[in-house]
Amino acid sequence: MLLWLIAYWHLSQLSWDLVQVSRTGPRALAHYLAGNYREAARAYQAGLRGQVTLPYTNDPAGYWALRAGDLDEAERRARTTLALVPSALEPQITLAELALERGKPPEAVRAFAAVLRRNPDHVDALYLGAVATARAGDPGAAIQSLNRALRAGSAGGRDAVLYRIMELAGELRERPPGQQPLCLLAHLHRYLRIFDERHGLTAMSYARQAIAAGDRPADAYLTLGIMHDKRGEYEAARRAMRQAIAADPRHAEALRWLAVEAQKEGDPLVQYQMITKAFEAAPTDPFYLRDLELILVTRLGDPLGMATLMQQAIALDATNAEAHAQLAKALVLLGDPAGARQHAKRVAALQGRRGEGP
Amino acid sequence: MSGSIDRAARRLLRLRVFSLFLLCVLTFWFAMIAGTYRASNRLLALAALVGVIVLALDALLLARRVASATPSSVSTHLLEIAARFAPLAVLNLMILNVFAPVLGFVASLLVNMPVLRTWLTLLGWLSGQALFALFVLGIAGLVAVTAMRLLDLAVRRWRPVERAVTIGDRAVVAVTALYCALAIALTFNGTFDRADATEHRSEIVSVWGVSGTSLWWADVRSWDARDGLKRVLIFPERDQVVHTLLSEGQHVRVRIRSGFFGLSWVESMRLDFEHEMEPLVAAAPSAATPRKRLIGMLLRDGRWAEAATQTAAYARYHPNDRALVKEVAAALREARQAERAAELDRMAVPVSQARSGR
Repeated sequence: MLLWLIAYWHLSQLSWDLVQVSRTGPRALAHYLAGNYREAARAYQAGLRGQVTLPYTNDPAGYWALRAGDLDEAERRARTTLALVPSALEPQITLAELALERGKPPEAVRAFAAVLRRNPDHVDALYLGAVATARAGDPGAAIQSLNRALRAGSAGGRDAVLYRIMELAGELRERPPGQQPLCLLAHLHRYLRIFDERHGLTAMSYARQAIAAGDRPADAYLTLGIMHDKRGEYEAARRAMRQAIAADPRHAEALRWLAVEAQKEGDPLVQYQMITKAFEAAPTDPFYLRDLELILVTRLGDPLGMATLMQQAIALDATNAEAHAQLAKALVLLGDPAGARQHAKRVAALQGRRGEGP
Repeated sequence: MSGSIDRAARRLLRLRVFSLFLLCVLTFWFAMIAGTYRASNRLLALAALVGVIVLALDALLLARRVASATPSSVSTHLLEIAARFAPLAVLNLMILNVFAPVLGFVASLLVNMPVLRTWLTLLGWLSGQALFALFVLGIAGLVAVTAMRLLDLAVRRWRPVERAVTIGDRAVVAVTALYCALAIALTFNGTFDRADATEHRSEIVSVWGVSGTSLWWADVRSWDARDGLKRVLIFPERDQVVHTLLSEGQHVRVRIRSGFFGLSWVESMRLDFEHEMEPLVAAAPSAATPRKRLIGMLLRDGRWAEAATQTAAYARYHPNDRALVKEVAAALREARQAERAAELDRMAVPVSQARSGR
């Protein structure tokens, strides 16, 4: 009974993604539970391999062929689709992942960067791009990509994302103590926590080590704060976020998280201060505008304040479609339908240029 | 009538195990009630914690009585049935548990059958939960009964131990009876209390409790004694806060009821951000919601001049909202602030109406 309880205690925290029904699934799980993440990731990936069952018409990006381990077929499919639709993003991600698979991180970094130039918030490209940049020896850029991907609240669409991040974490952990990129490891375990709660403590431990070593302390404090938040330790989370801001007063994500924490508490002043500071730290990033609208317009009833900030955002980047959309909404509330129509038209024009239909 | 009650009570007391089980249930119930009608007195606020300790002592006593009990013929029969079928149920649950990943995998394939999918996922998940609970109860019961058997051996061998155990047994029952009496008093104090609640503003001095449980208290500054403290058991459903959101220095509003027996008890304790309204209005001058709240607060506190000034500022930012200006003017008139009310009345009159009146 006791043995069963111990086993259950360990296994019940795992997501189904880590319990793979395949020939190599049990081996992968055993490696994973033993903490051999590199071997576990390879076994999980091996479990996905097999015959390519989907025809090209159902797999134009070559993703399923790559997943099945047929690299040549994956490349052929991705290139064929790109020849037909040069603007398609998914085949480009497949080609970038192929470069990663073939051990060419710099090539992969360039390919992911090309995707992200067109869609800066493509979650799969951000996660896989983080793996590529880390392998290319740039942990700082990898952390930025991971933070940007994690803020979207998605673990990624391709199941390879989990295994590649697990593999990278396993490799980096095996480095000698002085050579480990501690802050990056904290972020990688922060991602793995999505699938297994126990990684939260590991992420916190690496974050504390990173802070002590002076390795990107603001990002490390942010990870520490988010892990506290996920564990329901909100006061500790607030303390960590404040320390992140003390380390870097323009850390937009830490500022946004502090606004999130203030919302849980019901503190309107801190919520307002933090979300406006997050906007000021990243005025061209559309991600913060929805939260800004929620607080300024919905909670505080301040469409004038929102309109003023959106005008500032547009002055810095006239192609910011989200800012135009928010300005249009604020102008409607301020009783300026003509101005609102003008900005709504601008939104339609910008979205048309990006190929995003309704 | 009293004779039959007396006979029933004697019969119940003869059922040593059942009567103690009932006492455990009663203690649990009263511990919950003590938390519901939480007293603000520093010692009485700990009634729920005392209840938990008494319950643990009762549970030990119950284990001892179970260990030394001679089961009746009916109980023996029921135990035999349980012993026959329990291993089968556990075995079935274990088999289900082993195949839970397969069930999860099958469930993930049933995209078009949401009901079956949900049931399969639940089956896999619940089998583990049920088995976990069964095993925990089994192990705890086994450990407790074994410990009590050892104690019985010691009782038979050493006389002082026998005396100590007998006294302990009676003491636990007496303490439980006293606790139940206290809890009944607290229950009547709260249930029959018809007086209105009074709200007090205070500040948290410290937050403390038993980690891993819902037993957490906030010590707040007393509103009726200088340097005194009031203790509030945190009741998340009623206070809309969890203990991890609270920290020293936070402002709170405590609603106190005087109590039927004069033992004041806490109806609710909310975090208070009213003191932030003025800085928030200064930070976001065009925001309607905080300024409206500020005006309401100023009127409530009889700060007429400031209320009128804030209303005038509000009217400048929100010229279409004349209703609020009229409301404030009426409140000022009622408070014999005729001059200020007249000033606001002038602002509330539409421009066209003012012209025609000239």
